[in-house]
Amino acid sequence: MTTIQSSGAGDLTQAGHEHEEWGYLTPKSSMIATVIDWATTIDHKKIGVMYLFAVFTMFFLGGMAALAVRFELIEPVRVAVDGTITGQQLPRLFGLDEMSVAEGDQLYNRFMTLHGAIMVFMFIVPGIPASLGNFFLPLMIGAKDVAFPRLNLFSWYIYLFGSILGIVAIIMGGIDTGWTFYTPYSTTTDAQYWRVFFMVLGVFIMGFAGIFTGLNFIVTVHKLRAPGMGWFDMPLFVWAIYATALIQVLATPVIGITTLLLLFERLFNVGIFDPAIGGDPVLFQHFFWFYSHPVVYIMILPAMGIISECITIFSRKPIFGYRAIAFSSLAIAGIAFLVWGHHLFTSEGALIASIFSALTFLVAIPTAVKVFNWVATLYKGSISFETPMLYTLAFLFTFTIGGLTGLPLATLATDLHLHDTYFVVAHFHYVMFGGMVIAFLAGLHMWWPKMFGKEYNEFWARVGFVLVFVGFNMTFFIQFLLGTQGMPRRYASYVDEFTIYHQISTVGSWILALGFFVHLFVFISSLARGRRAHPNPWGGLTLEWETASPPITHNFHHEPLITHGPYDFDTVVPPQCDPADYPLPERPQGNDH
Amino acid sequence: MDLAKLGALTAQLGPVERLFFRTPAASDSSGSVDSLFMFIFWLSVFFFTLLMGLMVYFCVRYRRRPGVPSQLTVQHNTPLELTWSIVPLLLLVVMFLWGFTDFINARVAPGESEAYTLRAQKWNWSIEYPTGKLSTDRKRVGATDVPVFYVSEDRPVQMRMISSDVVHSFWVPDFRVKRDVFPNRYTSYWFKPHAIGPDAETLSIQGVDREFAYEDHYIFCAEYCGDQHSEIAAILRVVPDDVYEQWVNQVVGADWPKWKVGQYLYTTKGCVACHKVDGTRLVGPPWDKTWMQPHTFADGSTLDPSDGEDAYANYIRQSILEPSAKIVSGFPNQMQSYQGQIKEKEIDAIIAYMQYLKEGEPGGAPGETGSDTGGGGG
Repeated sequence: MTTIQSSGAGDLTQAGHEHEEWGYLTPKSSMIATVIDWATTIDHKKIGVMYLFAVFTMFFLGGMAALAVRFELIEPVRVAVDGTITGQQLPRLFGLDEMSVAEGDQLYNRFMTLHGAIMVFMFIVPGIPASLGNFFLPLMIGAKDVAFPRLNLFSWYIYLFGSILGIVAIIMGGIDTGWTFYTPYSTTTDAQYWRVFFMVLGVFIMGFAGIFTGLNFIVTVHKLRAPGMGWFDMPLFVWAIYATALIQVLATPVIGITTLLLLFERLFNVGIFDPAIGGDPVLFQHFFWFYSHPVVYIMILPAMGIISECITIFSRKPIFGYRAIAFSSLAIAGIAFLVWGHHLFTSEGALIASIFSALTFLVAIPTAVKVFNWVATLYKGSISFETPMLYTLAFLFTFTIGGLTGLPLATLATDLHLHDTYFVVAHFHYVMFGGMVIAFLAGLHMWWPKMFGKEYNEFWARVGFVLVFVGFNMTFFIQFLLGTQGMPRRYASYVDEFTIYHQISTVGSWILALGFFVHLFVFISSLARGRRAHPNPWGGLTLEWETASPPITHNFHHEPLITHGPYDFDTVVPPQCDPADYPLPERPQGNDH
Repeated sequence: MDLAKLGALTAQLGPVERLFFRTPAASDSSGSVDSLFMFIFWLSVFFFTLLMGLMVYFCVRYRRRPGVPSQLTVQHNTPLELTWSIVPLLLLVVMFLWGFTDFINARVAPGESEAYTLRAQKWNWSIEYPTGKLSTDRKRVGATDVPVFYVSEDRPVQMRMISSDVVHSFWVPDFRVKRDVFPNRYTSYWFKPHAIGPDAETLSIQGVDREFAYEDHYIFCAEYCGDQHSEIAAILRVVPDDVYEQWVNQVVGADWPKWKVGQYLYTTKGCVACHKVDGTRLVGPPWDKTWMQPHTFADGSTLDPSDGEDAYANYIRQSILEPSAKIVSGFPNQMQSYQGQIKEKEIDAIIAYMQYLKEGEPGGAPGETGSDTGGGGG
């Protein structure tokens, strides 16, 4: 039993709170009471956990759609001289052998759209901010909760309602517009247009969850920091969430307006985007990407925040370049709004394309600066390789590939070739999956003991890691080559030359899926019968590690006193830890750092 | 800077380039884009190896040992931050300028180009040549027979493109350039093929007096346009100039019987993308099973031979101009209207062709069903 050490930041563990043996997770007197407690909670931790399970579920649904997409692509579709169709995997799977090529293609297109729409709107955008952000932002700044707890609960219900509308659209048969629903295809497809209507309405409603959460987080960071915590004493995860919240509040209204206009056009035949009734399809693309480019930074900034936290804890070193990383988050958030036109190089004029290309290169610099600073943090550290760190190092590998492959896409001439090909698909999976999902897994494993008070099985988590890492690279790396060689995206079939590449990619997707099932098993096991966790298993210095695992409902017994920075690993023994486990570096005599 | 000459020089691909591109860029409009891509690639490999190398080295060298703390280091270094911001920025400026130059090269056609018109529709490409020629040649790509467009290896071409329905995108991977095609707005695309290679395959076709070398390039649609987005392909066939000259002057004969004109329109208007003439179903009903045969429609109504020939002629006409009115039961309601895109004489010819498919030449046996105006080979 390790001795509990106070680092002077206030009273810590269970003392005086024996009625909450499991902190905020302590169940109420009856099952009904517990359910009502969760359904009406304004505790940011419970809301964060509900979001966590919701986004997990969406990830599973979107993942199933991805497996379906890759399964179809394991063999190209061919028609023999006598009319026999071969290579249609999905119709065969569902027992629909009479499907024509076009109908089989349409089935594929629905799965393809589903994968994108669910993953983007219901998983990755809310992903980290709604779950880990909600849970840890107040803890990390020493607050009891967010600034507007009731608004927080309201946001959760908005997200739920919007997602349900999307699910309704899926149950009605799905849509086949692609997640980008470009016009005029999206305004003219599907004569009974209610499916498109419900999905787009769902997106519109979910947007408000993002706006309200963003607003909540901005005010929380400005107003609720514990005394003594200046802006440059905040953990970098907080900086990341803050920058993300700024983008959420400013960009999300644009997709709201765009979806509303799309619905008007569909319902009332108003000519905004459809040239047949006087509209402009490129206008839709501009509106759409004005939001959808900043949204990718909503996806990645919180992930980068997690990496900053993990890399310092697991190398037991202060972050290298704190201010550079903090400011680069803000710089990325700002530049994010200036580059949307790089999605339209093949549809817009030459002058505007050139301006957007130049601006797009700018965003590479603050991004690269972060990666350099993270690697520098490892120098002369004391590095351990538990699952969170394995995922952190994997992030550096996959996210760097994702970032570097953005360069030929930002470059005008190469983009004319690579736009709308598998190269783009590989690029964005490397940054979204290899960036956000990998970092999410790092943060999830690091913070799991804190959130649930239970240990997870480190061995099997590492097995999951290996499967995910190998499976991911096997699925997506080959897609860069498919793209440069000439394979367009959103295709249900392909020419013979590409067969082997697709087969490798599909097998990779199975390994990836297996990895996630292993992780799922590890997490369920942990919840069911995991050992009680140590309140600070990794020796972290940010404020959440001073609380119990799981934290009590009020987070802290008393308002925390800030006596050290978030990354002072060279001078401070981590709270609740045995100093013998965390030796400090020797300081030179008479020298003050 | 003659990017075209620069581009032609990279015609020999190294092993890594072959992994990325299979064959060299094949048009003057490609400029030096392959070299630019490889420049970015090797630069990326350098930085990636450096970063990952350092990461792995640090992880091994500084792995945690029990009882051994981490070491003190500086926690920030402003000159270092500036260096690793400015050096990459300079490299990015080079990338941008090179990309910009090749981009302008790809966008601006040379003055003396041949002018083609390209029409995109769900799900077929159609090119009209300056002589009025419309290609009826087709080749099997994937699961579909797609149009083959002949071009001269000696002439630059500029195409004015427009779509009949949704946004498509015209892409020739071997030229490394694509451009979106919009409804109600023209966009343009130019190319000048490189000379046909020495070990190209050869072909003989009807209407051309000699066997000739040729190079086929894929044309793919690169903007999602619905069900058959994966099938709306075409072949760009580069041929010697004299062969092209003969091919492009084979325009529809004034002395053709009406059914033969209908057969020609069947391919050039894109009907072939969705309707077969051998009895099998595609997206739409087969044409050889249309004329004077019983049909049941989705709204419950029927048509049968006792209704008379006029009823069938009207049904066909309505299906061309107002396709959603009478959908044959079991088929999807997906056809775009040809209102405004087809002449009266052409509707006549198509009706004649469908009648021919059932009854043969006026006074003769049911006729052949295949297109015999060229194509095949390769």
